[in-house]
Amino acid sequence: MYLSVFLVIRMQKDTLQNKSQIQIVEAIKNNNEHVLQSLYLNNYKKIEYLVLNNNGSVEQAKDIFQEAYITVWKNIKNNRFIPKNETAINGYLYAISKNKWMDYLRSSKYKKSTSLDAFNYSIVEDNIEEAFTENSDYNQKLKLAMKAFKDLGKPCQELLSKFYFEKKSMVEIAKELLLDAASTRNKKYRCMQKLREIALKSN
Amino acid sequence: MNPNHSHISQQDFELIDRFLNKNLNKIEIANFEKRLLSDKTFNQNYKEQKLLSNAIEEQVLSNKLNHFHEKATSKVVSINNSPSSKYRKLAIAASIAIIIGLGGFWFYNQPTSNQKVFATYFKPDPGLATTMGTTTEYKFLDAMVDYKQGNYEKAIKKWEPLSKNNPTNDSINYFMGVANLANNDANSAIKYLIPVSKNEVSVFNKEANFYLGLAYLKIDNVELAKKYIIFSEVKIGKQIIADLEN
Repeated sequence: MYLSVFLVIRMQKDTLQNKSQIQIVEAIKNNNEHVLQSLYLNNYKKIEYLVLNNNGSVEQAKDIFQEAYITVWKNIKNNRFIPKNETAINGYLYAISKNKWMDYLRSSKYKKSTSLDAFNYSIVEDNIEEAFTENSDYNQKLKLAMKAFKDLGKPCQELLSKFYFEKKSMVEIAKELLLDAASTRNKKYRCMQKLREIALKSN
Repeated sequence: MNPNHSHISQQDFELIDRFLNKNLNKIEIANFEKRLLSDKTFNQNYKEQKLLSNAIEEQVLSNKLNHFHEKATSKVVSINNSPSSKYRKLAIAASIAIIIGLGGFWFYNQPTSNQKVFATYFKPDPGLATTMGTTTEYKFLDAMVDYKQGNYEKAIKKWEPLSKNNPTNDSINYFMGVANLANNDANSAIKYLIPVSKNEVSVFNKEANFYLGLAYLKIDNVELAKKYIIFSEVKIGKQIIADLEN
């Protein structure tokens, strides 16, 4: 639905170009560092421009963009958004950032200090629903678990990050950590148990 | 023992990981799903583990975003998004410098050397994202599509009426400037870029100075070219100045 909103244009050459739709989606799902970085570098300035021209600061541009970026990443990961190509991802990221910024401008926090009429350049709302609407209970648990991960010791963080984020095999991880396969498996289990305990105890 | 979360055996833990990573065969998947329905504790273990693995991914990504952000903002100006072509340009510039050096006195004094430096460093701004909005915005971005495809003349024609109605709009002036320069009309480019160069709050200010410098180079006004290129604080500017002075 929202794809029709965007014009399909040829973008300049970069890391993502020449990748097929499946390759891009798979690369994002596998957290491919180059692809994730290109996605950030190719889009951030546009959002900064949008926010700065609509009564926002550089800090706010960063926050809004990063929130939108994570939403897009989640929606691709969960097959809630299936982009046709890189341009569609860029457009989607732009639209979500724009919506988030509009939401902020409409919020009571912002209205206290400024009136919307004060704009000399107005942004128009696109009817784009954010597909990612998980319930607040889940989100609260997720936030707690994220904080718990930050509080884990470095060795556990490193091991779990290699497995769950970088999607490396246990054989690769064992090699990198100079451990044998069985100890690596045990260590991963113990680290997750520790995380489970910190993350879920307060629920 | 904490009553709020269930104990999980290492075997079940690894089984759930394999399911989440899609490393189970058809039969194993069927058994796994059956167990999710019949075994309440297993079901809870599964949900918790999925939540934890999502949390790890998101937290690691959040940390990475800050690194990406530093890269996105560390360049003084992102005139060029592609590092490989930037290096290629530097290489070309270096080879031109060598040719100039070896070519002798007569070559050094050729008026075309400014044009060579210009051709080496000029690359039009990649342009803005094209989403649809108000009518004015639509017209502006419609021309942006032409601009991005390299149809500068067409883009200029479409932007001209907008420029007349919005003579102080920095976005229109900036892109009119760059499009004119790409279209080999440096004098028109200068006319549009000067107001953006003076507008210090414009997001295009630094880029406008850079292109203004290149526009002056194009018409062989080396002094003004140097002035605006230095003023733009673009990293590659030093290289250009060095090329011009060598």
